[in-house]
Amino acid sequence: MNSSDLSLLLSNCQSGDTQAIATFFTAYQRDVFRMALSILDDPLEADEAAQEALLRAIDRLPTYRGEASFTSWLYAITLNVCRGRLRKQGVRQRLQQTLYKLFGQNEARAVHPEDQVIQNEAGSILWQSIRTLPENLRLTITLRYYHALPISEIAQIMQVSQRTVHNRLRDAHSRLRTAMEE
Amino acid sequence: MKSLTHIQARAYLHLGQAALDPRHAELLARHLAACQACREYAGFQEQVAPAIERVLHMRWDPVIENYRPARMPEKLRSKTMQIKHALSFATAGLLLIAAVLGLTALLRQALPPVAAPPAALPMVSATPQDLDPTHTPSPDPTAESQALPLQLDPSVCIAPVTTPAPQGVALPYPARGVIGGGEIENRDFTFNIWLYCDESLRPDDMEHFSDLGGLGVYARWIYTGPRIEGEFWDMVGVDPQVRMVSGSPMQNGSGASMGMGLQLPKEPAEMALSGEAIRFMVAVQSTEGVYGAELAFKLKAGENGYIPYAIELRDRPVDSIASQPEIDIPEGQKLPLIESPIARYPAANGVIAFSTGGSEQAEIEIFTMQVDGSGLVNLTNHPAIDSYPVWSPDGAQIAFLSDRRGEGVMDVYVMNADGSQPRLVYALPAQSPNPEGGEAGETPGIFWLSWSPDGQYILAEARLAHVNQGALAEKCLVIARVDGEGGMCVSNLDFTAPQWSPDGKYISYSKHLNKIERTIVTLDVAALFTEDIRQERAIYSQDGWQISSQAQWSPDGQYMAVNVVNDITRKGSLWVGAASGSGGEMIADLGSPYDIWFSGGLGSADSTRVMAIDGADVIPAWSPDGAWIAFASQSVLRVIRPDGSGQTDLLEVDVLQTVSWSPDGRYILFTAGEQSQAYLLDFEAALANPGQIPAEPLAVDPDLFPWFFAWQPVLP
Repeated sequence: MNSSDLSLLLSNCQSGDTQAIATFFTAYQRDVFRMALSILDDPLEADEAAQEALLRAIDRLPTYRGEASFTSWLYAITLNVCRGRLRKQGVRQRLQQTLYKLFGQNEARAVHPEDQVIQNEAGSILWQSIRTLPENLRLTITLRYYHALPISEIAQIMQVSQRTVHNRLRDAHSRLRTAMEE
Repeated sequence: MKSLTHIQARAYLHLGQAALDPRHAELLARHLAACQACREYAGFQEQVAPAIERVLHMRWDPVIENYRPARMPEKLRSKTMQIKHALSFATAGLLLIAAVLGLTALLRQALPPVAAPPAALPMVSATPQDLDPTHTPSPDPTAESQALPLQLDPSVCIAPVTTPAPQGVALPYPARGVIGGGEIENRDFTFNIWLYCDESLRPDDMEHFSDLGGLGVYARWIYTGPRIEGEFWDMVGVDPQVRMVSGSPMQNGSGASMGMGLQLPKEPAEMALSGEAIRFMVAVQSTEGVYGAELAFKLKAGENGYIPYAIELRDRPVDSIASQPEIDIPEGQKLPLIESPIARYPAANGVIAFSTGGSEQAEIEIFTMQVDGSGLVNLTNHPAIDSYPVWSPDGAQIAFLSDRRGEGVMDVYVMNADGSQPRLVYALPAQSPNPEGGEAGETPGIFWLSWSPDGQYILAEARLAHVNQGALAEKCLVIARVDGEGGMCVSNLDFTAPQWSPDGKYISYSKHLNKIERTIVTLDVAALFTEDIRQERAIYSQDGWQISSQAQWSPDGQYMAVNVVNDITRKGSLWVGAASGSGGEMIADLGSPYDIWFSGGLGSADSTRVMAIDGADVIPAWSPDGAWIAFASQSVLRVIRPDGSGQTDLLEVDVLQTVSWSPDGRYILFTAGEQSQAYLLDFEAALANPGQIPAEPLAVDPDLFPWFFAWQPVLP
């Protein structure tokens, strides 16, 4: 979608054009879901987060002034939505652990299909190392290596300086290196 | 030429050689030549960066490849529907009534005599060959190779037909053409089932929804025999998602009809590829048997969509749906009836009981304290787990769960309000060993405690045996005498979250309609106690909506409130209806829930959702005088009157978890926040000043991880 098409689409969305909103939704839903999945690592939660992010984006279209690329702006909203969900996940996990204690439930879960895919030992160790990184580092790694975004765009999305992005990448590399060498 | 710092060098490495201009590339090269640590960093990054990319792509790409974008979310759809409704309000209004969630116009009513098959509707659908049930072409690989739109191939419906509906067939849609179907009799029932075209049915439209755009099904069934007393249940749906939709006595000429967008058990491409039949079933179940019919057809790929073929209508024995399990009540376990329920309102506020969450500061114990935090007492003080306190109706005793017998199995205990005389009132029967060796299973135990209103019995849900993933729980409904003189364990009963009615006459619980969906029923206590028979009455049942919380009786026992969630949109609603089962309505929006799952994990077939943090699974709470219902809607604590009026946002609350009332109705006690903090809200003040009155944290040490708060009623 070129910039003039995008501009027209966003303008029509703001004016409540139903077709434009549906087009917007169709055009960006998969990308936003991909971003949400890489943050939440849960397809169902990511699907809900994607919808929430798109809704929030439509509501906030008047605040988009073209200072960042539109996808960066949209990804930043997605990131914020997902972070809110991650915080709630933390609460849920604590409550869940308490429930396990109370009701004597085992914590064993079905193996995620994605876990079955990552079968080789080195890949498994690397994945476990990535998932246990602090949130900021994990998100930075994900944006850089999974979404292949440039440093400048990662900075826009995470709303930090480029220097901070570099520092986080360096820190993440250091931690991963330590984990891989153990 | 200036040199780089280590930080700059590593930043350049992050950017990658390809992104550097010659000057910066040379700077980086010079730095690396001089700095071993940075060379090691570069080497590691060169090695690990592709590995990270590979691992992350392996992790998520398969999910994304299989991702089917959800239908337009409810709120977004609402934005578009606002305009649509404004343009054609009259039409939209009719369709809304007729087609909520695809299920349209289900009316049990006295219908006119069965009409002739609707020959007036043109059979415009497929070729004669397609309509021949004996003609079975080989599975169609083009269905998968082509990215077919999720719709009927336009050739199926040559042209929209706007002819009036034939006598006795009330298709609700304005544009339609019949694809196939017919009429069939099964004993004293006559069934009409028709596949039809309707271009308004779309996969992305919640209100006119069909998995295959344009494909709808109409069914009508009429009873022609003599009057039969007792309950009849209508069940419709595509196998295996057959749903119970209503129930009432049956007499000659009565029947029901419905139209709906068709939902498929699998992806259309998969069904076309495999040649698997889609079976739409209609059945009526009574205590005397099951009468049913099914319309079966297959799909194949057309040029611009899918074509139904091999359409066949046949009568359908659906005995599996009709199975009526026997109740197992051991001899000598007959129980006396409850005669004198105790009114619980008005009552004064006593102490607050709670259980601790198990931490370094405290084991899992039951404490009481005054509302101001004073008088904290550990009532149990036992090395075993003691939790889930539930006050007796008169506030004199506390029922709780404990594993004091060992083996990690929770049994039912009762103690006095001061913690004295703890006693076992119901122990689970001896357990069979876990055949799977205890791996990945659920242990036996008791869940959900509820007192009978006379305080003589404890009602509980018991899981009898280890249950491994993939297996359904073997459960029984425990009714134990508080005096310890025994009780019964009603097995072969499909139920969860039981609760006694305030008048003592019924036990309510939710039961499965199918593997996923549940409905609320009441069980007649007298019939159970004296005749050993199960006599259930459905209180809530609506196609596409499933129960998501324990049902709550109004204090006078006349109504029930429960949260329900639409199984497509995931939107939650608060439903209030008459406990007699004579109807009810959704009175408030609950938003979308966030779920906690036990057992097999989110999304697996044997998962059990036990709690949600927001909205639909926060159990609604009646005020003690029955005038209000407090509930959670997303991050807002709200109240509403049972008739749907007076909805008020009392307070914005993050991660609302539980809601209850003080016995005198003055305070709302709720838990919320990341630390599950308990709060008190002055209800009258908050009602008069919505959003303006802050909640006060309950004065209890958060390091105790207090939970399961229960306020003692003190009767006058």
